[in-house]
Amino acid sequence: MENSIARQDQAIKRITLNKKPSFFKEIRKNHLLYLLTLPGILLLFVFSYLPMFGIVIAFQNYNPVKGILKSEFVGFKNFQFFLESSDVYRVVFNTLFLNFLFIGFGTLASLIIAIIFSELKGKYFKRIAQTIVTLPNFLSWTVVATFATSFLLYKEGLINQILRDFGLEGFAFYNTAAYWPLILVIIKLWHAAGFGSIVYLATISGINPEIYEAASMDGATRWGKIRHITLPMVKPTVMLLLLLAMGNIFYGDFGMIYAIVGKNALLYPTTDVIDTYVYRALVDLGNVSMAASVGLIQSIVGFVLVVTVNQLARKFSPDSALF
Amino acid sequence: MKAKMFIAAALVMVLFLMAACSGNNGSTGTNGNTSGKPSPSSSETAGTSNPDAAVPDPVTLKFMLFGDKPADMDKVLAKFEEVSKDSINTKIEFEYNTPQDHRQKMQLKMSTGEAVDVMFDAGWMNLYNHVSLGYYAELDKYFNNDEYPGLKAAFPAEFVEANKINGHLYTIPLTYYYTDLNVISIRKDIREELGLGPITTLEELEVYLQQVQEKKPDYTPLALGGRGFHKLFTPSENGRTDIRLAAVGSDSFTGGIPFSVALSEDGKKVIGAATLGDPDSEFASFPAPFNTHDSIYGHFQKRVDWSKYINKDALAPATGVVSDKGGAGEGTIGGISRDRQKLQEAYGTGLDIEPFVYESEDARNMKPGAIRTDFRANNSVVIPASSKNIDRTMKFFDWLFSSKANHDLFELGIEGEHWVADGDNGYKTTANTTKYQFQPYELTWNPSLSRLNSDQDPATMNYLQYALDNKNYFQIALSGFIFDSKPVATELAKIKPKFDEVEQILKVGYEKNWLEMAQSLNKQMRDSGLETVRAEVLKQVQAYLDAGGK
Repeated sequence: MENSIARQDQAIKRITLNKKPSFFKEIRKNHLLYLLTLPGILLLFVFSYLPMFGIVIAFQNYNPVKGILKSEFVGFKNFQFFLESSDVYRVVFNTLFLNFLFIGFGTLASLIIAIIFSELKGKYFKRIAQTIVTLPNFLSWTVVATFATSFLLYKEGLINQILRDFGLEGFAFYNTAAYWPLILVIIKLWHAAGFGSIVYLATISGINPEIYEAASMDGATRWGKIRHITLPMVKPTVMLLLLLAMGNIFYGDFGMIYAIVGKNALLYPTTDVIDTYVYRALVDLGNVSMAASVGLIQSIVGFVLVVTVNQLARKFSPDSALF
Repeated sequence: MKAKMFIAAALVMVLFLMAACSGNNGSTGTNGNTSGKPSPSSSETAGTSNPDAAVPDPVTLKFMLFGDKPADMDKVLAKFEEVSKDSINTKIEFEYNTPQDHRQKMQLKMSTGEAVDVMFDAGWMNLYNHVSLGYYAELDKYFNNDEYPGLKAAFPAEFVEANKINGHLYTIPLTYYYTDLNVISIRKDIREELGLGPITTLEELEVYLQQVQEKKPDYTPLALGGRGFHKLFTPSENGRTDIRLAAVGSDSFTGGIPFSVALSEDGKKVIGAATLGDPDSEFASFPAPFNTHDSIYGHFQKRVDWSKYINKDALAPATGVVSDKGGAGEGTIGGISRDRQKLQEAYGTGLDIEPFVYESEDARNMKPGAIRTDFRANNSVVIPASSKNIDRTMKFFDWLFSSKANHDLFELGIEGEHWVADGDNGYKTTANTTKYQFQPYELTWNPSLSRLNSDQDPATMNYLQYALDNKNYFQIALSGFIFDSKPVATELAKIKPKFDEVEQILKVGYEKNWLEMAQSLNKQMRDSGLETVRAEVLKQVQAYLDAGGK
């Protein structure tokens, strides 16, 4: 049944594509609908497209007193400090590596939580549990960082105290870079996975219950229904969110990492991301243009990634592509 | 037809909104420009519009500081408005940022041209950079001016002179003592429990730390906070004027890279500039005994030797919190009484701390001319050039510094409620003191007006009195020199993160082969343009000397 609907959809798509009505005809035909989109388009234009002219700051020796129009144009000079630095490989690797871990495990955890909640029957338990898992998302990273230190400190930390009570040797977490990708992933999952599951939960509850009933009639087990109905049905949503996440893959989570790791050089080998590095490099100089140049690199990479991945998605799984 | 009208209407709407937006952009832009110029004369608008009347029009000033707003702030402000409405007729709105955000928020407000009348900014924040960008108003004309008698009395000419940047005063300099002496705070009760006498030398301090380590295994002998050993073990110029040392990053006066700079004997020529990890040849021309790398940067070895006494994760973000399980800690003399109070509130009155001044041996023995300073106030407030109320703001400061009573109101709160006087220059705390804990270094500190808390132990009191006397200071070379980092911004941005990373580790002595690490850092810094920065340092210092600077 599902297949036939999809086929119909594609047929309709093909027809509309073949027709290609002229721009003005189209507007005349649906003018009221277009008028409805106008406020949204305006908002996007004013707040997302107009400020884009600010990109020029990245190519200037920007001085706020002189303003954008009068600041001196210096070409690619502002990009030098970042692109020529020998640390750039390390911070780019850390940014990508941590983001892949966050996105991968985050999606997996959110999906599992969503499926568990959709399978649960106890009404009150479900509600309470759902509230509890979404709650951490609303804590600021500074608060989370305080929790983290109270767990992880060498002498006073809870984990080490417990280990010592069992006669074991403690871990100097804050001195050992190797533990930190794991620690950060755990904290990130605790913080965001519950909240992230909401979208999947909504998708799952949008699945037609008749499909499940039909499957039950055919003797499908619970696990079978999850594998053959739920997962395929949420796949487009998963792909969509992954695609959107790709756009931000070159951005390190500054709020999180700076709050939790802070200025701890011993942990930089695994935790120093583009954003924290740029912050350290420029905090004394206060150079807006250099910061803007790195921001521009990050968004261009994000843009290229989204387009490429979308292209791939269109090729291999047309339903999941964004555009 | 109908559709056409709709389209036309929609297009008109788009155009109108675009025009409105760009119009707005333009006007804020030009606003920022005209008021961005550091010309106080252009902004005498809201001020004394009716010169005949004795009482000026009411005005509300916006102050931006950082830290916690005192609980009773509104009460004090109400009192302020009551006592001053017949003279300056001013209201003040305080905005408090968290310390971490203040710096960025300042940059943001300045680059957007948002109106603020007073901001905290200092050399250790954005001051020099923002002055060079022209964000701040020149305040020279308000000082040493009979129209502002309060400022004239509280800010002597030489104090104003020492705080000038490139020949102009951009700040209201705030200082109580020029240097807050660096101390190791020792747990007095533990020292006595161990049967040791008062600690007067570094050797005795080490014995104490060893004893704590041996006899109290659950204690950290020396519990360090975020700044590690800070300046413990660093060398001092001891009054010499032919060299300016920067033995750690925080002493840097050259854009964050700690270059030590040597001058000729007559102070007219710059001889060389060398930094951490440079080969001894760079130091060869320096005046003895500073003519080797280790004579200036060898203190990192001491840190390695002492790292066995410190907490294992000294770089973790939350270290340095008051704990009852530390034998000693690092801080400043001005913080002793506060730390003692915190310790006793949390863990009982049996606990006590006492200071061991490590600034230098001479300072510890309270010899005259022993404390290092550039006579620049470490803290200050600025008035953004975009402020529309510069004259009125300075009138407020004139009022604030014109009498002890006015000054006490802001610094300590309402007399009898938040504090009680103890002699002419002292005060005692009350039960309500905690409700008005204003950070005086952010607005009011002044050598002639501030009061000293009398609730101190005698040793701390003696050191505070010692630090209050100007003859106990020596002025370091190049104290008026301000490095302009713009010509080497790219190089600094490449070097700075590398330097910070290595220095953090060296500062807590975690790396045994510190010299190798420093040398490898030096090589990386050279690959990133260290020589360009060095050349710029030499050039700017020589230009400063040629212009008559010392």
